[in-house]
Amino acid sequence: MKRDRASGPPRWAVWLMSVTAPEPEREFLLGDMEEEYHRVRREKSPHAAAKWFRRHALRSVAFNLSAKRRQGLAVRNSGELGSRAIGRASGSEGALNLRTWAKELRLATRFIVRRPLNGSVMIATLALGLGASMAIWSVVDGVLLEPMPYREADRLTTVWTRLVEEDRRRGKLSGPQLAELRKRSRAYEGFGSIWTRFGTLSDGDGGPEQIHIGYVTGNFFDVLGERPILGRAFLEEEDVDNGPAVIVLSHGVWQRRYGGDSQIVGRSVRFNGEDFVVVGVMPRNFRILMPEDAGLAADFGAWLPWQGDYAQMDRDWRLWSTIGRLRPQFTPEQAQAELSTVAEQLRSEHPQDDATGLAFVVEPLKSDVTAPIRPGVLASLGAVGFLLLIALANVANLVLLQAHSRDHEFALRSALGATRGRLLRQMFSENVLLFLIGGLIATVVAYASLSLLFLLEPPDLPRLGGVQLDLRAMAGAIAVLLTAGLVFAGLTVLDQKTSLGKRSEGGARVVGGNRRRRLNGALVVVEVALAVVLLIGAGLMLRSFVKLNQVDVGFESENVLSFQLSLPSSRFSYSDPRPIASFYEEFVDSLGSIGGVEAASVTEGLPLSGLAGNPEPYSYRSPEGTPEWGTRLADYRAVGRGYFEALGIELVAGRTFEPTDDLAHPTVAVIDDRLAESAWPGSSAIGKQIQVGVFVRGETVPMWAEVVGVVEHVRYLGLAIDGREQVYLHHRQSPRRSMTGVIRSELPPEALVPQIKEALGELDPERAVFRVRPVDQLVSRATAETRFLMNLMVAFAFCAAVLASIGIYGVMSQLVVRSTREIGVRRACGAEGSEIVFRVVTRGLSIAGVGASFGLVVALVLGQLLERLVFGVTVRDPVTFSAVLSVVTVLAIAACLVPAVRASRVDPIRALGHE
Amino acid sequence: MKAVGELEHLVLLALLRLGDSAYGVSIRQEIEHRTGRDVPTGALYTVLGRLEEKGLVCGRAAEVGPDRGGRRRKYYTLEPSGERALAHSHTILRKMAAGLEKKIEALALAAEQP
Repeated sequence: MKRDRASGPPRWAVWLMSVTAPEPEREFLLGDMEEEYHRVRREKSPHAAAKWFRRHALRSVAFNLSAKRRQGLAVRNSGELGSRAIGRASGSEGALNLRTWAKELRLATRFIVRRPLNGSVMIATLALGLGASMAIWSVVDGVLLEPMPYREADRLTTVWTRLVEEDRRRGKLSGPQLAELRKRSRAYEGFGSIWTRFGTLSDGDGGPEQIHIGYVTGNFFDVLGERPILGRAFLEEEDVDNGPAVIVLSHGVWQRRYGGDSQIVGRSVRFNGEDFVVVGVMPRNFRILMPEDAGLAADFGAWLPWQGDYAQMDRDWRLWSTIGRLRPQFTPEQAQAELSTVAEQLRSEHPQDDATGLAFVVEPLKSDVTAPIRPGVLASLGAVGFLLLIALANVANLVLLQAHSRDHEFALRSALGATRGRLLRQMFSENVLLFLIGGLIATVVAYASLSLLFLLEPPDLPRLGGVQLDLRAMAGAIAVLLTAGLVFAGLTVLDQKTSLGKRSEGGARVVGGNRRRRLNGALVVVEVALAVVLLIGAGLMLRSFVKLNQVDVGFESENVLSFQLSLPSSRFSYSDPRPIASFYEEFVDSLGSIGGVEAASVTEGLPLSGLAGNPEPYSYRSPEGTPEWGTRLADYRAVGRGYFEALGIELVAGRTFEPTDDLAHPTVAVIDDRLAESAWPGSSAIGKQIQVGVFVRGETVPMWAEVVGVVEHVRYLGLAIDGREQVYLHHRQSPRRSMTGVIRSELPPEALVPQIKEALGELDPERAVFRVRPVDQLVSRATAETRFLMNLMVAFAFCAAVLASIGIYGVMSQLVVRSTREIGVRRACGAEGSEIVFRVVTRGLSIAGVGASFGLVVALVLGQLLERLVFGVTVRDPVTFSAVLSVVTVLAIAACLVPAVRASRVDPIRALGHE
Repeated sequence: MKAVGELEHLVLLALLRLGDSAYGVSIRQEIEHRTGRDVPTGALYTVLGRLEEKGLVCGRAAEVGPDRGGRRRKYYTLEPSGERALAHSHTILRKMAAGLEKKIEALALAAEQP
């Protein structure tokens, strides 16, 4: 489009004019328009010129057509040029004569109505194949492929470091690294960075509320290209030491706590006990999309400028999740090259950077964010493609069959003088009409299946609400299928010539027929093969889902409510951890005394939350000696008393934590059965010494602890991930400020939450719990992705199976009609009806069998694509494969039965008279 | 002799004014500048074709102009019969309007008011 505008008038408009303009004037007319186009372009702008041209072209069409018509008439009437003119007029007739086409359409309608079965099968194919695949495509497109919701998002990249000491896994940036990048990069317009903390809003409605806040660089929102709906974003000059106390609120907080006050900008709000002036409110749909390892909160309540000297921050403090906006002329590859050079410079200038082997990593934001869902996207796209191919094969098949059954009619019409063009036109108009109806119904089906999907899908899936039917893809798919249908229709009519010739030689039309029948058979083979592949895909996802739900997660999620709580560093310093420990101790005690609560406790992280806990080394004393400190990593969690009881984690041996396990007593640890087994195989772990990293006074130090208990292994990372060995420390001996509370109770959450708030209010009226949710929600969320893919695949496979059955049915019915004479002979010779049924069914089954074998081979090859999506089954799962084979066999038999039974009822006398 | 249609009338007037330099673009612009009517090119050619058919104007293809994508221009001139038709139509109009000039001006003014 842009190139057209730069070099000349819009191409489609030129085309429109050259098609409609009357022949002798066309050159001058087009020349004039182009001349004026260039004048407007010079005087105004390319845009105005293109607009002028488009408008003139559209307004000229009717005049052009009337001139053309008048000219044709004039010349025709003038006699001397008559014959030539008629030739010309009838030449343009195809494009212009609406009346002929209307007649054609009427004729077509009559033919379709007279063969309702053929027409409805075709329409059903389109409705299922197109409707379903386009609905699902729209979901894939909307949920997974939609561009990042930021201005010119393709210029955004994430920026990470890679350090030797972190196993060269990528990590966030430190303040000094960020400062250096800002100073040295030319490829980037700016770097926006953010990190997550908690804070408490204490004014507004609803009492004190703990929210996630993002500390951001002053340009953060500008880098994303997002503007607040009220007020403004931060200014660069606000992000300095001792800058003004300003805050930007999220839409949710603004609505919930401040009643959507339109005068909020300029007002001050109470945050963490201080006053901050609101400068802006972000839009409702504003979200910060970064990969998981950016570790950002899912929902921010507000943002604050960092207001520190980035260059002077601790070099080991790598907390900045960073997004960069490239200058327009730079690609991510160029940016990567530049940052590699910067890293090299930094390594030569700073010994620390050299020691850590500093390197920067640049990833386009979108591919970085969507990386985890890419296998799912690929699988869904493959399934969409397969379903469309099946629909295509079916369409081709139906057109062929239709042509078969009309050999006679066409031969007759041809003999009566109909030209091949005439027959072609009729085939075309019939198919166009069928496609129009089919396309219309397909659109309705697509809308219907979309709303069905919305009903089925829990709200776990992001962005599902924004999904809309992709009408462009729909139109494109219809166009492809229509073209294919027309090409086939054309081929069959051209083929007609041969069969006509043969026919006149007397009954030898079998020749052409055989070729077509082979083609029909081949198309059905393809269909069955594709359907088998989709069925296997669906079967594998189904089995994975079942397996996922059978996973022993190591805890009981029912009737457990969780919430988060965080203490402010201003009042609870790590230099004296005792107040932190006693705060939580008292809080848990008061929670436990609520009527109806079976157990209550706190933990650093919940199971299945995706948080690995803190990977820290451990070592142990065993008869063989002590392994080197640092070679083995375990997940550490500080938990309160009663944690194992609250989550139903089974105690295998020893005891759980007791009140006396505090800072005044020797450190104790509870470990999981995996660690116990690997450290002291065959003997009890209780009473053994284990060296653990204990977080105390703000740092993690190695300490010897006595193992007092062994519990069952729990899945913390996710259902499908087993995770490391686990070490639990008592919260009183390793206190943290931010904890997650867990309460096991039969009481409904609505009844429990006010009591939790009351208990907390008595301890500290300024604290607030947040992210209150039932723990079993975590479990259902952990299976959401597999469940969604499974639903998609099952939907695809269902449509594929139906379409393939339609294909088999169509071919078999045709076969029966074709072999009526043969069947008649057999019947006359005494064949039983059941024998005929058996013959037809075996023939159908053999076609299906060939298709299924192809399908199995393809599924074996393509199975690797699903490798990362399946769980607990191999992609060559024999159970799935054999189940699919039986399903296909049953479907094939079912599809053959109706034609077979029809064949068995053939009356031998009439059959022998057939044709 | 029959009077010509309104657009035909305008085109004939433009031809009279433009003389030798009348071709599609200049005719269209002449009408647009004087009356503010943005006549679609297709409509103009329909009219020109009709006039040519009636023998009122004569068109001849000429040189390839600039900015035309290599296409030629077609210049139009008034035939004597065209001049007569124009004079005829114009006279008819003038005669019908005789004595009404003041009133028509007032109507035009009133029409311009919103």
